[in-house]
Amino acid sequence: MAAALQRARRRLAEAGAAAVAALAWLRLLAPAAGGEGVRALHDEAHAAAALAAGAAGWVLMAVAMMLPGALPAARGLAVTALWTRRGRTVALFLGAYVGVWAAFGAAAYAALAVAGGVPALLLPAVLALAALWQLTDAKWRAVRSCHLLPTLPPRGRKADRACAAAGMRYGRSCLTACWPLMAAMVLAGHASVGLTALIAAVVTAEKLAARPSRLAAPTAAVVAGAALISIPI
Amino acid sequence: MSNGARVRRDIWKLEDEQAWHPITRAYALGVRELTRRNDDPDDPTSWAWQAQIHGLPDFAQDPPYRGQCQHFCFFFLPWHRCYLHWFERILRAAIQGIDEIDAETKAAWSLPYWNYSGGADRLRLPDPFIEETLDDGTANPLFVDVRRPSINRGEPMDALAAGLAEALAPRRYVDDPLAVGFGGAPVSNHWGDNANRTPGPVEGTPHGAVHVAVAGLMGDPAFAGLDPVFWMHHANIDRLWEVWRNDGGENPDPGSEWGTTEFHFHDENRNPVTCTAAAVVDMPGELGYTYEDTDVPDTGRRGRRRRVKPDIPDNPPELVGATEEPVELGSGRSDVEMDVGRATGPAARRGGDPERVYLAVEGIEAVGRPDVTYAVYLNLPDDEDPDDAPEAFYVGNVDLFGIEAVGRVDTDAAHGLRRTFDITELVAELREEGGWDAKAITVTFSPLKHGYDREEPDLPGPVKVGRIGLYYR
Ligand SMILES: [Cu+2]
Repeated sequence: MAAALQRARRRLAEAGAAAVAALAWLRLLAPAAGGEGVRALHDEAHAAAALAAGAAGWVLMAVAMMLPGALPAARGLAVTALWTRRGRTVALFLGAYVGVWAAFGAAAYAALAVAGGVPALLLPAVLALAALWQLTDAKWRAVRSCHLLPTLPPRGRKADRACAAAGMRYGRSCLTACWPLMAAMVLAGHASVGLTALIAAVVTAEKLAARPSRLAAPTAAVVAGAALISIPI
Repeated sequence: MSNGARVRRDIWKLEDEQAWHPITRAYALGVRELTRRNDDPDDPTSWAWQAQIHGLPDFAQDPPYRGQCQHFCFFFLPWHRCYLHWFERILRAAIQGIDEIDAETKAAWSLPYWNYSGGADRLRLPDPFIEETLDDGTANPLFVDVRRPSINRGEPMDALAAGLAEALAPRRYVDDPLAVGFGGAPVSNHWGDNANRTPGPVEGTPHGAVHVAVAGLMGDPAFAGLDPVFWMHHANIDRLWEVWRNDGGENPDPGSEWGTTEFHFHDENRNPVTCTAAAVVDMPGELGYTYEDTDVPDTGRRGRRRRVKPDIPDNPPELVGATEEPVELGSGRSDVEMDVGRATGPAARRGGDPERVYLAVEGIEAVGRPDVTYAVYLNLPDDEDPDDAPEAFYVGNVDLFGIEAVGRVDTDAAHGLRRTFDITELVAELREEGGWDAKAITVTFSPLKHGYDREEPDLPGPVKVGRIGLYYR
């Protein structure tokens, strides 16, 4: 058993990051699945420290939704790093990547705060926009450019910097690919577990597909469906 | 050889028997007939369409039939075998309809192969490909005037472009993506691996290096199939696959994704057909042909040495040294030095020496279409001239055929490029001669020669290597 675990760890440099993503999902689902008590605790946290809880919620959601699709890229960099730097490579790359999404969240929430209230039709409108975005060329060029990873210097600060830069570059491609979907998540909030799961499935599938652009029409349809359902009646 | 199977002949042996052997001549007349069909742009049996199956200009794709060539990956060999097979059927059917060809030739006709690895006098194009006219004074369909001038003058390619030692060395068809498998690394799914493609060594040399050496149409995947030499070149690459199997190589499971992935072509009656690796691995049984010669050539001292200890450990290779900065290659010699550390992962647990050593040239990029293949040397002393191809330091080649596809994001096949060499035996030799230092290495790149005059390569811009890495396993 221990030997098998050792072997798995040797094969899967990204195993730790996968565990982090799984924990993020558990935490995200807890208020919905955990019954009245957990929900109350969760609401209390948001009431007591709205900004901190909101920020934590957003980052949690970004980790849960975005980490799984980025694991192969992290692995690709880790297996070509020095053996002692594999874990560090995964952490720096994915840390910078999540940082890009955190910055996006901060900007989006700031814009919302400035605008004051949110019209009820904004969420369906943004989802409709996201569905259209799935059909553009720019979207799929961005998805494909996620697969083009740079080579990293072997050691030292230089390697750290290059690795973080690779995560940011990857984040920028991913942001270009998914910004309307994630803008919808800003509006819906992390309590919308159904929408979170749906969009996470879409962004993960298109990252991992061998021929991503074949998913253009089906994912556009799924997101358009979500737009319809989200229209308040 | 099974009874009734046709034999793909060596063009050199045909021409040794008789200049413009009837099989060669029938090829020329068949090419002429297919070229006539170019008037109908929708005829899948035309010469132009057949070339477009391989590539369309600017790497455009027209699924499922055109712009489909499988490069830098483990589909390279089976896809091209399918491609050649259906092309051969179309050409063979066309030849049956040509009156000047005798019945015996019609019955025996198969695509000949160009074996350039059989000695110094075989490194050039056979005469029927460089003569401008046929004996009746009409234009020779096998002649293409935009090839490299030295090639059309009948001058030899650099012998390193036709070397087989690296091509035939791997014992596995598919290996760890950081190591070297005969057929190239899997690509079909990004799950678990990044998109830095690693072709099998045979796809680099002789395949890519010969494309670059002939140049002209052959130098561009979008037009290569328009040069009649292309088909004979690929017949030879396909033959080398059988040579490798003859040498004990084993193909992947035909039931795997490698075996069952479908590719699309047309038959001689213009009907669509699908083809899989599983359907073409048994050549005489399924396809009805064999090759004249699939004997394993002697690949020198290092090749023999590799046979002594062919076992490969199962753990992945681990990086022990790499360049700090990207490297730019030009039209002359480049020496790159780097530090090497010790293995600290699985390769260290056995204590002492790694079982396998790999040199990887990673993140290869270029501007435009550089007309060059680089020979790579390890720890080449300053006073050694790479133009003498000093075998004691020779690693292999980095060819750049198809490099234009690297880094493009307009098709789903977006990918980077890595070339990996198994240098275990070279390192062992260097160590015996005192030419190995486990703390630092020097890697030298030097362009192959073009023709007797040693033409300089024509580079639209520098060739960039993101990193050179040394891996232990
Ligand atoms: Cu080719």
